[in-house]
Amino acid sequence: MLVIHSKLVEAMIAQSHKDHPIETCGVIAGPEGSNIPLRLIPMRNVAQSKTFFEFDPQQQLQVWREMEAQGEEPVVIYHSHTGSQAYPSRTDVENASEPGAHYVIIPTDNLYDREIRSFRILDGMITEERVCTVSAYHKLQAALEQLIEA
Amino acid sequence: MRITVNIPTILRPLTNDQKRIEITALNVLEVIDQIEQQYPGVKEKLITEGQAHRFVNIYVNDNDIRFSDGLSTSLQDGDSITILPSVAGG
Amino acid sequence: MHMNRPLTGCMITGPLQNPASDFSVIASSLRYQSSALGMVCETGENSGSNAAFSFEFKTPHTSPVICEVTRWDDASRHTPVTENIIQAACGLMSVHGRASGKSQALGVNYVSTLTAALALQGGVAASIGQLRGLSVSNSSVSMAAAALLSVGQYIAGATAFESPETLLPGIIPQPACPPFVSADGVIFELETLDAGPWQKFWLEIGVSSQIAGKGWTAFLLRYAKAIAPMPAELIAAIANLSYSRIVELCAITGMATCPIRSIDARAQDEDCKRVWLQGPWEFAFEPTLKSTPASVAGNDLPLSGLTVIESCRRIQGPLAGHLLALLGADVIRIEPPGGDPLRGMPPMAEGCSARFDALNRHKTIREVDIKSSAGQAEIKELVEHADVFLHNWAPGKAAPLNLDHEHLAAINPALIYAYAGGWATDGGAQSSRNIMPGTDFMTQAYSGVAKKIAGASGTQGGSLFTVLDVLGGAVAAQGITIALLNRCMNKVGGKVTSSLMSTATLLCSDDLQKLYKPQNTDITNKSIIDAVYATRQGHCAIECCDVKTTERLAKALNITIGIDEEGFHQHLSDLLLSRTANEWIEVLEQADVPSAVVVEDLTDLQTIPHLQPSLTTGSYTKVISPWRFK
Repeated sequence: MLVIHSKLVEAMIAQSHKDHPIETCGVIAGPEGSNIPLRLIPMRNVAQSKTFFEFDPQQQLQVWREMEAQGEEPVVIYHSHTGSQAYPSRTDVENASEPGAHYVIIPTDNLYDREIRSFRILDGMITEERVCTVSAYHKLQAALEQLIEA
Repeated sequence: MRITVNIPTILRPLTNDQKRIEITALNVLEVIDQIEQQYPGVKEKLITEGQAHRFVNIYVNDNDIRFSDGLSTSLQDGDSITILPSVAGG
Repeated sequence: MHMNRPLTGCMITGPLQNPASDFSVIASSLRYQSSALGMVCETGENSGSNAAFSFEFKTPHTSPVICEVTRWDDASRHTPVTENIIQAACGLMSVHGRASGKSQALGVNYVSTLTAALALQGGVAASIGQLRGLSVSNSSVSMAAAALLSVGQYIAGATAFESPETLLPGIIPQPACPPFVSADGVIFELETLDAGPWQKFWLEIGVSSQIAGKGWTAFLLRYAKAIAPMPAELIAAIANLSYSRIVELCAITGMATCPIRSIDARAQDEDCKRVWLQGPWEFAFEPTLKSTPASVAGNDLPLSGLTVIESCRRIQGPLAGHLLALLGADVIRIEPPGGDPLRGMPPMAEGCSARFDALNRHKTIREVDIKSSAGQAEIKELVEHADVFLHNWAPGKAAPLNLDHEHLAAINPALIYAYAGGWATDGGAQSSRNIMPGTDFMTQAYSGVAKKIAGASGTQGGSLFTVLDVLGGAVAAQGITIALLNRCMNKVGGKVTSSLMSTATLLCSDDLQKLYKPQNTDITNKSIIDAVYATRQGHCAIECCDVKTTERLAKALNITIGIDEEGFHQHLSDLLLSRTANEWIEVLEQADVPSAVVVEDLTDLQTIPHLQPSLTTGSYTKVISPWRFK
């Protein structure tokens, strides 16, 4: 299950609608091993396409370095589908290179889907998972603090 | 030339979970060949038919090798190579 | 390499890339089959009126045929399904469960692959109908009808008027059935079609003739009953030997053996990629005919008025002939003098083996001694006026009888000569595999199908349900129908070959795609729930492919634990114990959750209202044609 703060969901949706009909994309970083998405980083889609996205390689290098320096990892990798259902496409599966990440897809065409959906993608196999939107990370933050203490 | 190579998560199962590997080599292709010798299976994830995969980004320090000499990009002592699979999809 | 793609210039159009999720596997198999035949696949909308999934089949010489694929034959029923739910609802889990320990899915996309083959064949047959003067523009098949067809002979055995068989899932304690395991841990099949090698083999190992004989009966009947209870002495005796010793003993005694191999190992075989690229049929057409027989369809079935001569034993070939008969062809079945001994295999219905009748009831029987020159002359005379000659003799047997393609094409150049073999698509004797009997269980083992099924079923080997014989029969009939269409369009006679091995390639085409062309691999969805559950009475199968469906299930069952909390699955299986399978399915169907009561006793099928359009009762329960044309 992906537990995610509602503000992050709103931010992803706002960014997707702003870029529609071009696919939007980005990453949400969180402390390594915590499974908590905290820091949302919109990424430039160098493909600028209605059917494809690709993180700007130069920006990706910079962001990935920042995450490493801060002990973070990509918890969520998100992009929008602007003219199809919110289900991973073949290219999404082929390029899924973060086995630990939640792959979130934001639909911007109501014809297909209304809600964001989240997936685990491992060895070409997709499993949908539930998205639980919360207004605060309470319990999880406690868990996180423990993690930091340990 | 001593080169540090940053290994992405997805390749770590092949490199005994090492995040960084030290290699002595003169260019990027040599680096990959050396890694392949130590950790077989890495090369085919990065290169097909003599070219770096379309969806693998390789950087020497801050520079994407696509904008230098590709796999023949030469290296200086102390350079750091970062391999990052592109984040892309449809 | 030259491949004959007989439907080049034809095309299918439909939602082949993004169908509803329950049809994605069918769509994927359709794409594979169509491209192997040389067709163009075009993405388009559903063209049917109320079908769940439909596509258009077009040739340059006919008007488009709308091919509809529904979930159920009963058009009013829209309950969503999946491959495994259909296997549960139509008796496949029951048959596979007889020897595998319990009602469970095969673990291969069996019904979907079969449905795709039948749907495409329907379009091809309807086009032949048009070229022969029928006005037919619509062909429909259902997944349920395809599933019932695949277990038709088992349903016959279970419902026969005289002493029907009652063989329920799990009746055979594991692992007292093939495959066998050697001292060094190799899992392998043994095969022979004669008692002689069997007796000699076990005698060499030190098993008495009496016990070996008991095993023989069970071994022989496994094709019919999907069980093979082996005396424990046999299993124990063979477990003391190394596999290399067993291979030696097989060589001495005339027994055949084949280890259970993985699909990866099969993919390394020299011929595998060629077969995969070619598709399960191999076509060879002869140069242009002056004219093709100008036959006109006699009634409203597309192949009516065409004649098929069939000389086949067991399941694959007879089922192919049966399917052609269901499309309207007149099938003349050649049997040895005195008739096929399988006619007498119990259980009986009105004087004939119910199982035999299930595959042969629409055929005219001619008893012919094909070994005699008079018999051969008789066959040649029949062939002169026939459209199709179909056989499944052992490799290399046709030529010495002067009944090979060359001889028969000389008599009738318009003939479609069909071979439904075991190992090789070319049927030649060049392959070393041909010295082994190319039977269902040997080809399951060799092709990787057995290992895939074993992995999903928690068993050591393949299914004793004759997975490849049945699908192979459909593939053979499909190949013949395609060759007939090509004859109508291009005035060519020719040969079509298919085999259990090529059928295995079809069944594993997705796995092979992953190995050969990982970049083009289809997306595989892993369901959140996909299992068979015990209830207060009976079992039910439930599959939830996505979160929405899982949440509908949770809501319908008033489950308050979150669907991905740790206790959810345990809670679900505990909860399901509190009511009967029938009660639960009623609730789940209301909630649009793919689910079914697992049919364990095949006699129950005839009492389920929505399966009735596919069945007729009588001296045994018959599965009717899977196609509807209009």
